[in-house]
Amino acid sequence: MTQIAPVKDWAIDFDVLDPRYVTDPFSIWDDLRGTCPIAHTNRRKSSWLPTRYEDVTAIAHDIEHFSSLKVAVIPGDEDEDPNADFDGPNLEYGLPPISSDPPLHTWTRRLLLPWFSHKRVDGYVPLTRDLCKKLLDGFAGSGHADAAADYAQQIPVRVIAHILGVSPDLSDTFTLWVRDILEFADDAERRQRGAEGLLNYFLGQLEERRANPGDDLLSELLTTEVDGKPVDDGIVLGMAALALIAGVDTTWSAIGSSLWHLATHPDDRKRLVAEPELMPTAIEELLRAYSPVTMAREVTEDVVYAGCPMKAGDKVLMNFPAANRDPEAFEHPEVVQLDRAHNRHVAFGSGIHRCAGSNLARMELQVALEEWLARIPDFSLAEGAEVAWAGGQVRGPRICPVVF
Amino acid sequence: MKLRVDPDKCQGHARCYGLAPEIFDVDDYGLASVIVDVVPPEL
Repeated sequence: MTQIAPVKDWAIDFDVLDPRYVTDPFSIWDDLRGTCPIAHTNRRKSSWLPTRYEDVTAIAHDIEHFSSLKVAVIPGDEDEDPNADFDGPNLEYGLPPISSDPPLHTWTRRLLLPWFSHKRVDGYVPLTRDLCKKLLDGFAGSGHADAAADYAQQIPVRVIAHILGVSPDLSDTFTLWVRDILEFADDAERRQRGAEGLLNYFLGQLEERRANPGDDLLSELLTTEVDGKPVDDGIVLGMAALALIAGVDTTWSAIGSSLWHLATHPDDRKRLVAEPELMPTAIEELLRAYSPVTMAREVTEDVVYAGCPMKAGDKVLMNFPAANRDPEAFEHPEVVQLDRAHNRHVAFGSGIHRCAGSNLARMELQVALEEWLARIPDFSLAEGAEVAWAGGQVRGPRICPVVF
Repeated sequence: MKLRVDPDKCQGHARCYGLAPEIFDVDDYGLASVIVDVVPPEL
């Protein structure tokens, strides 16, 4: 693991993996918004970090100057040939549609969206509820649990495995690979282990599904035709890997952060138990306040944006979590208001790359909280508990010991 | 009250459907449409 040199000046030398940023990015964003709303760093790669709602959303919508071909916040080896160590179909398109611009983005997104439509997601509710109940059965009687590892982490991976049609028995392995890719991207060995594991697994699944197609996303991607032609294997592989990667860490982090909030804010916890009708606005508010996901864009040509001389090839970190804490966009953004009525948050991004799985994420978060609060309405952080946060591309608690 | 969705501005969040399924429908791609002629007064 690379050692992180402590950051002295966040405006010109920020590092999203600095432990201070991972644990409490909020005060750093507040300082930057007042002094240097778009920070810069040369760590890893020349990168910009907007902190204002207006800038983040404007950049998200300017797909001409800000490409999605390279979306990793921790760049890793993204400039290397993706097929160098992989004996399989062409991976040059990465993980469409997230790592693509139109026109590839447009048709790959259209293939995915119906799987995550409101109505389709309603059909995944019983499975999710049942899963949450079983997890709670495992620890509700013991008086203590790790809300992150024993609960939050276990839910989204199994739901997305079901949608993809892959074995939920491999959930722990999927989680390991996804964490290698997103959370430990600074560690070349782990990053490679995750990418190889995931791609080789899906390569095997592709062959199997081609022989025995089922009623799942992977089978549909293999049998569908676009403009009269089957979808290239490398693109199917990228889309399947994306569904898993994007469907695991993100929602798990949102569930974990929400439980952490309720464990540390007893008034909010009691209110949500007493007024369950607040759940829809509470979900949106928790998503706003603890938005897990930062994506990256690549500057396509030299451009001066808001006085910042951005060079072709620079990264811009799409700081949706900071945008959601901007006092110009939200009244008292530092306060979680479970009944916040006006809440145009961008936890799921904005523009053409807005999260394709947001209906699923919202449902998982709501069901996970409902089931937890029904069984364990009264809980708090364990005394002396060390909560461990992960950050970078996806922020959320990885260890969150609670007692009840 | 009458209601209209501007298809050029709709971003497919499907929040309208989530909040008021009596008034809105969304297609497979999240794009919204209004399914009533007049919004019922109780809403």
